[in-house]
Amino acid sequence: MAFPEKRTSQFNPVSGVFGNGQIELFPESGTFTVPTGVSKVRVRVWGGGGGNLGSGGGFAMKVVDLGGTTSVVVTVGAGGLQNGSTDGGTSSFGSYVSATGGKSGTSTVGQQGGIGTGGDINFQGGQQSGGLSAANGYGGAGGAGLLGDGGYGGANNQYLKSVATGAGARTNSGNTFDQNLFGFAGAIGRGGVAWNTGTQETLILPTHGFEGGWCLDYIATGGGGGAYQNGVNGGGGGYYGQGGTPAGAAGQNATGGYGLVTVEY
Amino acid sequence: MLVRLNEENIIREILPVPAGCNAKDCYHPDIIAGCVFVDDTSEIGWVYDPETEQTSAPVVEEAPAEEAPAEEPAAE
Repeated sequence: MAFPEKRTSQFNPVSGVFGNGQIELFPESGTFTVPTGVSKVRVRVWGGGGGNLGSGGGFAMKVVDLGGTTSVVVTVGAGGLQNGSTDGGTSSFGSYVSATGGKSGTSTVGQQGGIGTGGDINFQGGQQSGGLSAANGYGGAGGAGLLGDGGYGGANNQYLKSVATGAGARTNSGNTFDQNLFGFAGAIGRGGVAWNTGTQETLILPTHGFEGGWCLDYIATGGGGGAYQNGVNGGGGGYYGQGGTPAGAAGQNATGGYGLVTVEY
Repeated sequence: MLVRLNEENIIREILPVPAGCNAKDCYHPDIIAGCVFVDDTSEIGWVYDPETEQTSAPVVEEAPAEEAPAEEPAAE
């Protein structure tokens, strides 16, 4: 698929359709070439999710007056890696608006999520909950989106922050599949549920949140993975599960979701 | 090269800048204000010294070598 991918918006229930309804999606870094006759664009940026039990990537949205600019450099942050336990990368639309990535997990609780910077709206990715531990595996936090901050990562026997967007996944407890197997729901998407009788089979996969139709406003509303499941659409990964793109953080021993930039005009 | 540090001045992220571009054209000023420019050879995990504005690879402490077992006294 050629990038940036171009689409036409059908609807946006929260933010409304912008301009002529044209969209360019940047899942990778590139250059936005300003179309003839376009002077304003609406931009959304998500930072990458943190690796290895990380925190979620930040989000920002901004209407940008390009003022005669002909092109803008678009940077898309990668997801943090499990190997080396790296942070998620920063995403940016030129110098206009940016969002930092989530941090990788540490042995202590509380790594803060990435944040949006320069936007008309800025939200923060979910915070790491539960420390890296050989005895207990934890889930990653959710990424932020238009509907709010990301959900806090899953940890044992804790009732975590209510999730506005991109749910953090819960965990298993060590290698016994007897508790805490449920990924949190996102604002729209359902959390995943892992099998709970001693196997690693999937019972229910998390859902994206696009069930009502794809639109930009529903990006980063997905559910977190259960144990051994990937998060989707911004949801945090369960233990050993990857974070959902955009901005979802990895569960323990996995990789965070990529960032994303979208441009409407 | 533009990098983000953690609280211990360890490089946590390298912010890429495409060839031919200036970092100030690629990131919001608040992002740049939270970063530092370092030598291009620096890597994630390296330590930044704010006084010298130089980076260095982390010092890896070697595990203490196990003491060799005492030799048995030669039989007479």
